[in-house]
Amino acid sequence: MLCLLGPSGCGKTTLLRTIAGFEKPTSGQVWLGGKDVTRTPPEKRNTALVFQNYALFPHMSVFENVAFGLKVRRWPMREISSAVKEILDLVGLSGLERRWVKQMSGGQQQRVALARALVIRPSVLLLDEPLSNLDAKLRLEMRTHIKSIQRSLNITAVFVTHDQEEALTMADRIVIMHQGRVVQVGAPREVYATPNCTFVADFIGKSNCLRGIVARDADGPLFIVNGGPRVRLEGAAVAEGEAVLAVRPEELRLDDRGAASETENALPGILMHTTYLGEMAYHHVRLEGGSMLMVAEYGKQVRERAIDEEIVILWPREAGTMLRS
Amino acid sequence: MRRTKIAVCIGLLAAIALSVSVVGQRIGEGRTLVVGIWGAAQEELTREYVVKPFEQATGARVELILGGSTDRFVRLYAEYDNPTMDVAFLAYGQAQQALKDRVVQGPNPINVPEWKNLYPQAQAVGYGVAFLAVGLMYNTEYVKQAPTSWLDLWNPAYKGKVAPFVFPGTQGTAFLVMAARAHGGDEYNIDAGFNAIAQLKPFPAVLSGIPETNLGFLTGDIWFAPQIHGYVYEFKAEGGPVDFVYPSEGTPFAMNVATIPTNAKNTDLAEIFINYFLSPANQLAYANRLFYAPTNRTVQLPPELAAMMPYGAQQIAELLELDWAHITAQQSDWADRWNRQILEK
Amino acid sequence: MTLATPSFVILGIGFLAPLVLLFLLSWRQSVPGSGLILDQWTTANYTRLLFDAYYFKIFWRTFTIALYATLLSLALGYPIAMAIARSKGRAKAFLLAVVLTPLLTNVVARTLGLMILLGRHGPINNLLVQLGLPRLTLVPGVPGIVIGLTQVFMPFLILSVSSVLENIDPALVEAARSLGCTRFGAFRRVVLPLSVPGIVGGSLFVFLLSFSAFVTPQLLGGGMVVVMTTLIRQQAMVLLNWPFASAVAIVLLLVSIVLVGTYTRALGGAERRESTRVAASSKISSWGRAVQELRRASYDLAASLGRAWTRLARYLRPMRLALGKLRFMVRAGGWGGKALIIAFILAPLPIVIVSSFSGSSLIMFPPRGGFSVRWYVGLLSRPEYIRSFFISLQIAALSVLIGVSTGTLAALALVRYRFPGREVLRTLFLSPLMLPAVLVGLALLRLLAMMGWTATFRGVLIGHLVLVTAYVIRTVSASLVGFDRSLEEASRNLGAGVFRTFRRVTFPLIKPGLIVASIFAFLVSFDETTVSVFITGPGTITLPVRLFSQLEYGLDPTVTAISSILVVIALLALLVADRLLGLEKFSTMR
Ligand SMILES: Nc1ncnc2c1ncn2[C@@H]1O[C@H](COP(=O)(O)OP(=O)(O)O)[C@@H](O)[C@H]1O
Ligand SMILES: [Mg+2]
Repeated sequence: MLCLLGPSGCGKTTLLRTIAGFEKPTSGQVWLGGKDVTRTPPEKRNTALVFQNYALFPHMSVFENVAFGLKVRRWPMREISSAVKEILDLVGLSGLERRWVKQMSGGQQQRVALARALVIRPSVLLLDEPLSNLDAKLRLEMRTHIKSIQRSLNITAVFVTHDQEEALTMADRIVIMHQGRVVQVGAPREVYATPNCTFVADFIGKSNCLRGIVARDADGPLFIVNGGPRVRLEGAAVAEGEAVLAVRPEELRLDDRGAASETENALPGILMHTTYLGEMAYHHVRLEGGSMLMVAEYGKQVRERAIDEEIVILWPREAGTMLRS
Repeated sequence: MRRTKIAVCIGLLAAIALSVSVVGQRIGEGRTLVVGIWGAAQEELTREYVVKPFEQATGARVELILGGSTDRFVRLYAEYDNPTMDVAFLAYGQAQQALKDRVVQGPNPINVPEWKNLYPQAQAVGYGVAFLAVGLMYNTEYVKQAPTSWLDLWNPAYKGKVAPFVFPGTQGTAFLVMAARAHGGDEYNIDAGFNAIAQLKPFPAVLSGIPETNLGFLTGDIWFAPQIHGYVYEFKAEGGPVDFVYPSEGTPFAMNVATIPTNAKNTDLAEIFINYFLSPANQLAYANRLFYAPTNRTVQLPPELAAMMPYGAQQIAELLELDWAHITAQQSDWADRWNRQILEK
Repeated sequence: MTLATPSFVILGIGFLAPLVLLFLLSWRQSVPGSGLILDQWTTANYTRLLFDAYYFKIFWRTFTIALYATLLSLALGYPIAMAIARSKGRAKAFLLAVVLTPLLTNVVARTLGLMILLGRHGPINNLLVQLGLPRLTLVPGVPGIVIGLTQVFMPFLILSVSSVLENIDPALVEAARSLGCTRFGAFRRVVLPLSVPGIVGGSLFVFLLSFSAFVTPQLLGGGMVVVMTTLIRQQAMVLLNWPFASAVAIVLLLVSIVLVGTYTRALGGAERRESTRVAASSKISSWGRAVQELRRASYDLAASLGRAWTRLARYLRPMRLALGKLRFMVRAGGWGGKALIIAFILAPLPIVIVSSFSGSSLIMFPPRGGFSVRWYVGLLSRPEYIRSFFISLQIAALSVLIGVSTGTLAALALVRYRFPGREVLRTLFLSPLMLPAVLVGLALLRLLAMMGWTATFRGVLIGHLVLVTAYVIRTVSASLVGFDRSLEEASRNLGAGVFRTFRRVTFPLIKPGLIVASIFAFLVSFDETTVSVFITGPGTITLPVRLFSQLEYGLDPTVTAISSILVVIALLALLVADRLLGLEKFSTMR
């Protein structure tokens, strides 16, 4: 399961349609299963596209919609029936074969669209934001559902979304796109942990991005945040000069006892406000010089703190990714 | 100063008012006469020789509604109680039927003085305005031996080149009856006519209009058709490859007739209009341009013109008078038979 | 419903009252050889009609001619409709102009053009002879009539279909192709079924117009092909047997209603499926069930034909390859084919224009008597043509204004609300097209004469409005069927009143349908001849009536000169509209 992730308008749909054969690339090729299909018409590619608005045929029943691809492939009627029945069972729509698509709810339509695409056993299943029209609860359900179906049928799928959470939960690999370009490819963990640019760092999960200068002193490399605060780093070997330091809020801690260990930086700041989310909270802290840092606290650690009070942030030396600005 | 100005103004107004009232003494001032008549050359002639003097004399305005006589005929019946037209020109058979059904008025010699100068045939249906002969039109380019008889059309060499006219209609009805007469029948024994015409199949066309007839002769698709003499000579004068023949078995007589609807709103003006229409000046113009034979006895034609139409009491009497009363009574049945036997394959 | 009231009033005066007159008349007895009608009741007219196979034969011939014309229109018109739906900007404006021009040339002129074109000595046959092929007898005869009717009425189909095609979500085609359909397969399985409402509406227009055409069968049939209108005209106008003609008309109307009802029910499935589904649960009439069975049977038939074809094709692999090649050629020749169809639509035009410069008074091609502008100059001295032009323009403009506004209201009522008699009303509004125009005119004349309205402007206007309303209601209904009502609810919810909602939401969304309806309304009124011949009179003679009246006697190139001028005016108007407003806006959906 490959996810195309990016803000809306970045070209995800266009890329998907290029794979399906509806757009001709001005340069580059499309390879499917070891074959160059750049010039193959869509119907010969054996891809199946699930449209954002489902594009169900309004003049056909559920059965006819799902059977469509098989009829085109000239399957015998009996085999079509059993295949359609099987796939409808899988997506949980058995018994609704004779319904008209207009009479179905959004979730049901979504599943018809999925069944219609799956039943032809495509060499690659293409899904264009298939969950974006569903309510939050249904969306969560369908995520796991789609994932398990894809596993059980053992089909390669390309899944387009602008929702990073969706991408992280469903994808085996994520392709992050920005302004028509692929900016990073990798497993969810990889992309999350080591974004290769500020865009990715910002787009996937929450990141604190601090601007500053990389310097070096007797003890090794040093990052001087604009305005003064210094952060000592380990491992990140970056040439001296201007840079951006990205760090995840959950990598930082707030210091209650005022005791920084050897391997931690201690940065003083003022707590501006706290965003409380139930199982966790975000604390927004202003460092000296004006830069903002966000620090996450989880579960029992979450504590009410006084606003506008001085506070110290503990920053492990191995945390943070250095990015070129 | 001012007073004189006012006086002049009043005087002027009075003069205008007076002049209007002087004109207003004419009978048709402010009234409109609606006349239904054929278009093209007939319209031009009528405007020049009838409408112009009529409007000058009466002060009325004339509105011409142009079209075929069939439209007028059916309109006379449909609008019986409230007719639009004051004068309607009809074909012979139509005029007879309309007169019999009292949809149109009979002649009124007191208000139409020219009526007394008409030949009796023209007086019989009210106001006959032109005598017509329904003879044979043939194609001089393809037919070298001029026909002399209706029977010539059944010459095997001409198969597929004889176009009948639609039945019922002036030419179509005459042709059916003449086909019957040429083959031993007549109006009262019409079988012979139907069978004979059926033998002429396939037809290049069954005609219903003058323009399509002329076009058919020009392209060579049609060699023979029953036709009214005036149309043939008119087309010949324009250079059409056609001529007209009075066949030996007889040439049916037909006539154009001016009628006034029974409930016409302007009968007085209509009668004046018709009187102008029957005047020698108009009749002569019609003869000159369309070769329509005058119905007015006082019209004198030069001999070369007279040769192209049934002119004078004797020639008119030589034309064949069909039994129209009988034909009209049978028309419905015959039309049915025509549809089935002639038009179907 | 109150929304339908204005249209119903028009229908009442202009159609229902005359219809009642005809109905009463049909039980009377005429006197042979006279125009009088006896004051006693009889069933003779109906028994004469129903127990004579001849009349059935004529009906069948008329039916088949209209059917062929409809099928040919569909075959030739559909690709053009697709091209219009797909094209944008200038190309679209050009195609629309092409499609509309035949309707702007007067019926007499364009039929003459076709007569010459298809004639034994016409350009087509001359070409055949040059190629050493035998001459074709298209005219006079049934083939010529079918071609003529198609040429004239195809635009109604094209516009109906293209306005529906533009509503089809392109994603559906892509969905089909991604599921393995070829371009053609996607068309056959998705686009075609979804365009059925447009096909139904358009083919109904073509069929009904062909069925009641008079001038075209008369001229192109050489007076030898008897169709229902020939028969009715003969009875009503020449033999003055109004009772019999009325009986024929009433029977024709009933047959048409049954035919049209069955047709729209059987094919209009997509349009009505939901409602029949709902009805299925509660109760379903035996009639509805029969129609459903028919529909199912037709689907089954189509399916088994398809299967048979598949089986056959499997055995005949070479044939399939050849077919593939053919498809390729069709695609390659697609634009060539469309160009040919466009040429067909425009074919009579050059002949009409060239012959208007003829020196002789016969309308011929090539014209005789050298080049001359005498027919144009002649027009200058005939102010009545110009007057008639303006009367026609005025009546057409009023017909559009009144007809489209009242018709849209009625269409809203018919599509939106369920009320008793809805189906009856729907059929009633379409029925003026099913009654032969000759008798509509005659009956209307009788009625207007009784009211003292003969030859008045309002009388003519009512006659036109009745016809126009039929087109408007049909066309606007089609565009309302796919309308998402939640949009209106959203607007009301946001505080817009009923009228503002209509103006800001409903109107912009059904605008394409309204524009097509307005075009139909204008053209129908501007070219209406058969009814107008009766109800016009001094001061209200429209242009087509003036031209038509020349047909029997006095037809000269004036007719073609006027038609040429009309085409030029129409093209100029289109050009100006394009410059000022941008034509493509008028036809695009989104
Ligand atoms: N690689 C590209 N080169 C040029 N234009 C592109 C490219 N990718 C996308 N676009 C354009 O950007 C717009 C938005 O693309 P789309 O694929 O719909 O975005 P998304 O689905 O990510 O919201 C489209 O108009 C598309 O033509
Ligand atoms: Mg998208």
